[in-house]
Amino acid sequence: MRRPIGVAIELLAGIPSIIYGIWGLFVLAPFLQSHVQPALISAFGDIPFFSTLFAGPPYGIGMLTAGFILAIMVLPFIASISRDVFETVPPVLKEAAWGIGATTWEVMRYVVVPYTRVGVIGGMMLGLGRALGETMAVTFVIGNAHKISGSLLAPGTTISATIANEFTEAVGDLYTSALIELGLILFVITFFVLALARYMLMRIEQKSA
Amino acid sequence: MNAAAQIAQVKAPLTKVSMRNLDFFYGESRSLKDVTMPLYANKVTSFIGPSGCGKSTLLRVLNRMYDLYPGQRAEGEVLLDGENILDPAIDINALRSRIGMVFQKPTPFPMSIYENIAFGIRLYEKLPRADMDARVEGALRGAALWDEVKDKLHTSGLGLSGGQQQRLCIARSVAVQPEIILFDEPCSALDPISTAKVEELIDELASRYTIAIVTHNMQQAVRVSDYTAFMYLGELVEFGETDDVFNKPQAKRTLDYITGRFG
Repeated sequence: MRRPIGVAIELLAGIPSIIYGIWGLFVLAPFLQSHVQPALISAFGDIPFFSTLFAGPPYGIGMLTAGFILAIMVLPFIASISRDVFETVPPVLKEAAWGIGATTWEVMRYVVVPYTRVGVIGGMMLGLGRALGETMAVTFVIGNAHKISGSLLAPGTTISATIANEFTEAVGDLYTSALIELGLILFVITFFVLALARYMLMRIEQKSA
Repeated sequence: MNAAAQIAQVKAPLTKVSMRNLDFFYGESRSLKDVTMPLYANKVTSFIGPSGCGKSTLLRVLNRMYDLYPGQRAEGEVLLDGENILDPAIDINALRSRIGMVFQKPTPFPMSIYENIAFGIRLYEKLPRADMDARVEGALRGAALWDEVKDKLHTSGLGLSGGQQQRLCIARSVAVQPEIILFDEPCSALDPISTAKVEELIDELASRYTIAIVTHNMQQAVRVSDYTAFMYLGELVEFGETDDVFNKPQAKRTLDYITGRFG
């Protein structure tokens, strides 16, 4: 089972994001609209705070759907990196843990994961980087509405989606400049998030050394 | 009962493990051939022989480490206190907790010295803090490591020297309170001083545990073991008391090997 699943995950990690976007629009969004979102709305309708979080009609597309698509897109990526990192654990170390009677789960939890912690978190950061800058998959399913809404089900937009959608129709210097300014803001946000991630990694590395 | 019979009874060692007609296969290739021998309780049994003769494989059968790899299988019987451990129905984690193993290269886990020991104990027992501390100290003392690490119990086990790491691994095995400890060339990566310490330790441990040790070093086999098994190409050529095997070997191949004519 190990090989076919590994290959399948690597294939998933290699799919271009626009494919995820199309799939999200035609498959995931209608599914969420008809099955998941109505259930969420009725389940959280009476609970304060959550009722605003899950308010409004089930559009199908929206921030929640975009989040799902990003998660589905980034997970195989993180999984395949983690898998490569797990392979670097010396077999004898795992055997030592099995040798004192640990189960496979305990070997993973207490030996393999701590041993590869830096690599796995690094993989997650790469995934985060990919998700942060992701344009096409999000543009397809987020709804592209220029408003900040309290509800996860409502449509919204992201900086990169806005730039991609509006660059061709930007008339006048101000419009174009505004879009480029948005690009700068996105760059700064990404820079700080990833810098923070690197700093965290360094801290972990120092601690385990 | 007369005195002679009493002495005979004291001298006859108890059989802890009994291998009967044991065969082992890596896929198609057969690497143990019809091995029948005992491991005696509270004795050190060493396995010698040229590389690839099946010594390490034999250890891996005893704690069923081979189970982790598809395509490897054992046939025959290995009785531990009369129970066949090759039986697929046996609780393999419980079995491995009864049979500790120390590897060629030190394999401390990526955690603190204290946690390295406590990890194995926690798998089976929930101990209050004070009891756990006592057990960890006991295990480290048992491995003659306590005095060297008592001030840095909570630093990483990877920071110790090779010899200390190896004794940490021995302490880790001892902490689980096994009945048998398997050593797979435990000193081949160590300097002479560390080697001497580990050998001393094996000597002490023999009073409480049944020990099997694979070694390439024949002087080591003579120094630490009560019984010696000489293996060649997957066969058990000779098994007997260490003094007998080295001083008056029965088989010509044993004689050739221990006198350095091949190997």
